[in-house]
Amino acid sequence: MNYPLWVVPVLGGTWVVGIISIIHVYLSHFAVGGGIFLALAEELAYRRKDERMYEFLQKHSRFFLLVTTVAGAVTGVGIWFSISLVSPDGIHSLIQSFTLAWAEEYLFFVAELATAFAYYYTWGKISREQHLFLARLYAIFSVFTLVIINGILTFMLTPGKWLTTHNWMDGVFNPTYFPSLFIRLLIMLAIAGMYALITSSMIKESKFRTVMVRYAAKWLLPVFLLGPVVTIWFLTQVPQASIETIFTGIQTSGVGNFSILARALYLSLVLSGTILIFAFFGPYLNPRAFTFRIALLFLVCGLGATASTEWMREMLRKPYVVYNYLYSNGLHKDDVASIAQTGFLPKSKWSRAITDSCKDDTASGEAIFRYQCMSCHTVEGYRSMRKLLGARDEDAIMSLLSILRETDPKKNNYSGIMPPLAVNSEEQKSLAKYLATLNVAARGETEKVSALPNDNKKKPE
Amino acid sequence: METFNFIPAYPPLPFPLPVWLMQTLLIAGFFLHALPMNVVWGGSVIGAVMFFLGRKDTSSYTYKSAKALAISLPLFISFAITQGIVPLLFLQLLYGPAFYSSSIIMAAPWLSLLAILIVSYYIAYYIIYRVLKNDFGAKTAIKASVWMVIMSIGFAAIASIFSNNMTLMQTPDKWMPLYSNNPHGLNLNLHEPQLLPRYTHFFVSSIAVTGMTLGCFGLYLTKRNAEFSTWLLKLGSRIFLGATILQIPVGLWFLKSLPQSHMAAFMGGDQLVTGVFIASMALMLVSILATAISSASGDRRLFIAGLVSNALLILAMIINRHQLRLMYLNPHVQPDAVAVSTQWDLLAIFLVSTVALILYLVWLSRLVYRAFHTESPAVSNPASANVAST
Repeated sequence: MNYPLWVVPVLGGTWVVGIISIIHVYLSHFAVGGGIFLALAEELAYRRKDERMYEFLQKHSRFFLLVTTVAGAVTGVGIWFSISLVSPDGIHSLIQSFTLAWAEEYLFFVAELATAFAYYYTWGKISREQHLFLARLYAIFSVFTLVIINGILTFMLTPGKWLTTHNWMDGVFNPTYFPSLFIRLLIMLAIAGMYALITSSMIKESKFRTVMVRYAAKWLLPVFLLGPVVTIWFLTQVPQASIETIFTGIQTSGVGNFSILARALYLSLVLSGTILIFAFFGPYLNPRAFTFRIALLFLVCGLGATASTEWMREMLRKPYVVYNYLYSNGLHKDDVASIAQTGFLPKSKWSRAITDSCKDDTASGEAIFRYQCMSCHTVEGYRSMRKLLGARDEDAIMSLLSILRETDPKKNNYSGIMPPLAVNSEEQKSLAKYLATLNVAARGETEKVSALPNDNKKKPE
Repeated sequence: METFNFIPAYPPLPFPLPVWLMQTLLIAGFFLHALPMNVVWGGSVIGAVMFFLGRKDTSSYTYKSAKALAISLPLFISFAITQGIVPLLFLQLLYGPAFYSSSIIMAAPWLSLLAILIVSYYIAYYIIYRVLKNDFGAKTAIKASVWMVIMSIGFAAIASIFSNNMTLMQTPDKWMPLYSNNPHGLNLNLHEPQLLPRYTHFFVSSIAVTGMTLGCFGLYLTKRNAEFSTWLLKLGSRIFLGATILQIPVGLWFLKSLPQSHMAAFMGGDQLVTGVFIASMALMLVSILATAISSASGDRRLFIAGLVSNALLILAMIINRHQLRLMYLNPHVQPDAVAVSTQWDLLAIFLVSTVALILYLVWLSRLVYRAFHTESPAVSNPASANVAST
């Protein structure tokens, strides 16, 4: 609202961030987990004086370097770029609150990358003890990048005491900090195992391939054993309202008893379960039959699991960007009540500038739609308004908007998942007017249907 | 409607650091970003040319230098990206209201630069691990040259997108017309008068800095191969010299493209701005004189003098660039008006960690340097050991 709003047709701005984030999470978790893998595997090679394993690790580390330092690093910047385009107010507040944490993250990032290059380029050029030392250093630095960024990520879901103190320590070490740190570490180890399965499956000598495939499969074990416990710990720290949203859902976002969030949760569990069961029966018990194609399949399943889990984590936070503080459309929670009186459009610079240049109600309705709805909805595409409005006419839309304006959860059954609509009565009318222009075709269709004889009638939504 | 009416407000939170400190970090961070970034762009262009010129003889110095550039590029790219984080962070904090607005208005090209970066970055590795793998003959050289050209087009595009955004953020009066015209972020700032001279200025600078980098390769090889080392020093000095002399008319063109009042600030209108500008001109003269001699004689000391004065020259230019930005943004965007509540505890941790990081990087560089300067095969190479055993 403070800024011009980037209108992304069909996909919506959130998915631009979402897609980049999912790719980045998958790669960056490999950067951390893979670092631990390289350090521990190299230690094993060192102790066993296993030349084949050294050779494997050298090859694996090139793959590691190419994946993490290029795509991993650049998509990390990509998340930052994309969030600043989609929710500039949110990212500005976030970096302003945690500037020095961000700066500290950068220092570890520099150390991590410099060590990764030194590690890769000194294979066979320094003593094995020194090289192992570099591998361990890399692992430590990369874990520290997680230690910091995890504070900022979890802060958004559970800002805890920060809401009253505004102290960075309270923000970083918030209620979900530790459970989330452990879950991520476990997942990172599993992802490292899955990537190692790829390079292991490409080893030509069959006996050694068997050894390495089995070794890589073992890396999926920790998440299998500890994952459920840590997840439960995590869920106990999440705001209970969010948990309810997972299972009960809300009228429009769920079908039957399965809310969309529960479905994402089950998808994540099914995919993770599949990976683990197949990892046990496949590469672990029967490593000889393991091939590159199966390894790729594991990687794809892993991406699916990552995507659904991260999506669910993001959804848990709805309707907030920073829980109980900043809504996903950039509105501060405390501002909603006053906006209902004074109006939304005059409140901030860009929305006011757009309104001043608006010629009619529909145009200012569109401005409100952009600023309050488009952070989650599109006109025609992801969470399409055209579809959601069905055949509602302007009056029906008005009543729907009246429900959305309520801040009391008893009167507004969308309140768990959508920010309240923050407008005054006049603006509500403009918004309804604009929304009614979106579903003209659907209304026309309904009118045609109602003109048909009774037995052919469809029920309007 | 008045322009300043839609310059967004800062968040209702205090700054965690004083403005002067953040400005210093912004300038210092951009300096450390600009050096490798120049090598990335200039290096891909000069590498392409040198691969082509050296195609007939892969044992020639020309070909070898092209190869050295190609092999080192990923490190420069990585360094440029990592060092970009600092200026990006402080640019957002200090001038976020302008920077976020212009980025959103040109969101599509702005975001696409990351895709271009990933592709160009992978091309850099592709050249090393695929094209140069079979290092024979003219065909390889031409192939490498072509890939370098493609990569340089990628970097040129990224540079152009940055120039567009950095100029658009300074001119709020253009925001609303562009946004109204296309709210999907499919905009650029192509009608900006300073865009082309500014872009050319940066391009020529990237060639000059790459010249210096080749000279540094020469310094690195002093003990190993004195002849090649001198050859590189001379070539690097010449490239730098040529580019810097060309920079004089380009720089004047850039200066002329600025609004009258801003240009006047460089010409005595503002003492501080003019002072920095004069210092940069003096440094330029020193670097030209030093490299003019080293390009003929291969003198190492003079080259180093040129190198240092060029580094300082770039720093002075970056300060001037920052001052120019302030001229544009004043009085619309004023970080000085935001309250400050310094996070001393975190600042202390940050400073201690910075010192620790620098010490670590020194240690690491020495380790790597020694690894590449130890001729005796005291340490066994796992790969070669394995080859021997099979």
